[in-house]
Amino acid sequence: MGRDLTHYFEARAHKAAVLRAVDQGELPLKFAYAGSARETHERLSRSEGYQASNWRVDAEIARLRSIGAPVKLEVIDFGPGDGVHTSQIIRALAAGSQVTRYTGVDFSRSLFVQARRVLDAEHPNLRVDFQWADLEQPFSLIHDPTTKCPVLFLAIGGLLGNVEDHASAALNIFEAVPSGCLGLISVSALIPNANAEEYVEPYRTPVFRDAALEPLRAAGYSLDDAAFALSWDVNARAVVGVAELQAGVEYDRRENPPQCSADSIGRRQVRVFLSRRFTLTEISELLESVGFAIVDIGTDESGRRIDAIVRKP
Amino acid sequence: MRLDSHHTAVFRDLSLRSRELAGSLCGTSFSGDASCDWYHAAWPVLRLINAVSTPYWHLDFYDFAFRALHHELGNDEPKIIVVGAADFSMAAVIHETSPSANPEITVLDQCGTAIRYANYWAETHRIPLQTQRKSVLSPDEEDLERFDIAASDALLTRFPGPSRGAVLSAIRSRLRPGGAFVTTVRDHSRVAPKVSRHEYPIDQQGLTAKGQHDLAQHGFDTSTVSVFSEMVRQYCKRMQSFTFMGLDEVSDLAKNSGFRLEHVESCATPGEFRETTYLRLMLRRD
Repeated sequence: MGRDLTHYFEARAHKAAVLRAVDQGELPLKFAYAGSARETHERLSRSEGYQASNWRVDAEIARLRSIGAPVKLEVIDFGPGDGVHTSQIIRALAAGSQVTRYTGVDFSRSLFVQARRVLDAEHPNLRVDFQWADLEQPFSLIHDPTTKCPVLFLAIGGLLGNVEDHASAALNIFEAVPSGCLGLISVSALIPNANAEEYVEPYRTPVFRDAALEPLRAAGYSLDDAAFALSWDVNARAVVGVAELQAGVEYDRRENPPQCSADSIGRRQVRVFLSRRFTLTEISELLESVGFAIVDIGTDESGRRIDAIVRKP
Repeated sequence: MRLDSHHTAVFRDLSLRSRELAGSLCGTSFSGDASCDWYHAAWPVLRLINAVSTPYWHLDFYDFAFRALHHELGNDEPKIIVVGAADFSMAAVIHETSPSANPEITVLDQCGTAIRYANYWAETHRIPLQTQRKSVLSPDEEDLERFDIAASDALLTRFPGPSRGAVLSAIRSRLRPGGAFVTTVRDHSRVAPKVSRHEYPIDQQGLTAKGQHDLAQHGFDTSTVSVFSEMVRQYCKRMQSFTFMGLDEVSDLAKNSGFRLEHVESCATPGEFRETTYLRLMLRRD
């Protein structure tokens, strides 16, 4: 197989992991941000309506202000994406707080290179650092002992709704952040009386389809005619995207073939997208169960997002 | 931490010959000593027992960096220079991680022993490798703006602060405009969290009981371990790394040397005597 310079993985190990996931029928969304998927994600995040449906900085900042955000802050940002949302948050924080240091924590190094460009351009005096982590595995953070100011961590943009195991991710974040820190967590809300189409409709775009399917393309699947179906899973309370694969992939001999049968499959369905919705009660119980104290929580004006301020005791 | 089995065999072979090779090939040390033979004699032994800094601590980062640069370059024959090698490990990491079909890898070191170690690995595995025995500070005319990528592992802390700018500038001069320098530096400004390693094979005095045990496990007899022990003792007595104070210093150094800091990440490694924080860097020539 010739090397594809258009669709590629960030790390050699990602290909084996994706093929194992295909074999199991559920592909974690984290692969849709790394390697060539950085570009498809960026196109998605800058597409019409994406920002409006995923975050509202004014609501997030208002909730922080309501509890009196510290004058000086070190920010730890879990899943910063392409940095656009983060940059808006830091700009809004600057009205009342000084951010002395910023650390992005993400699975995707590719995307963080882009986030850094955004942050360097818009906040040239900000000290920007990055630490790699898979939020669904336990991890440690390296702290700067000279930083005396309080830490604010961010887990925004619906982060906890997009991981495979939101309880593990919440616990791992809790374990990693320093005691006494504040956190801003935002998730997508379950909308009372909404029908399935209301949840699914914002995702029915070619740009979203490309972003969701890019990890499969990087693995070598030809997907031009692949069926891609979006639906609302009532039991999981999640929007799910399922791709139907028509054929297997070949291996580059330089890659490590995984121990799975994904190279010899016929038709199969793989869940490639998952976005959970939460009720206020669910997210409150989740955050409290891992150890956080909830300082403030509520839905925004649209009723589509829940913002929570938490503290690690 | 990973040490591939084929590297174990190479380091084992080199350990048995390193004192002789260093005695005849080492020249003036990077640290200004009359000779770096104490360093290069002990080095294969130390690598064999995972006692010293290695690019394999950062394999996931190098994998990312070389892949990203390969896809950006869009050609299968990038020109890559390894600056300040110590042995073959950085060249091996490039060979293992670069998706390029035919990367042109050049290893530069001012010491003939380091060059010999690199060539021994390349010949053992029949990997094309070019070498240059010269100071990083003195690029040849034909090497100016020749390379797409420069790489080195934990190189800059080998130099005292004031000379680091000159080293970075000399590396920059070898890169074509838009080329990238991929490297790591020890960050002394922050304490690393504990990683899963409890016993170290060396301490400030030399081999520990674990180090001696590990060498015996590699099949060396008591008298050979005793010889190695003295080589390692000399290394631990004389080795010096210079302090690097974190992100601010890296940012200033890069900017003042004509680089843009494209990617930086912090990580914790087992370290040589204790857990150590490193910064992993991708610098872009402006």
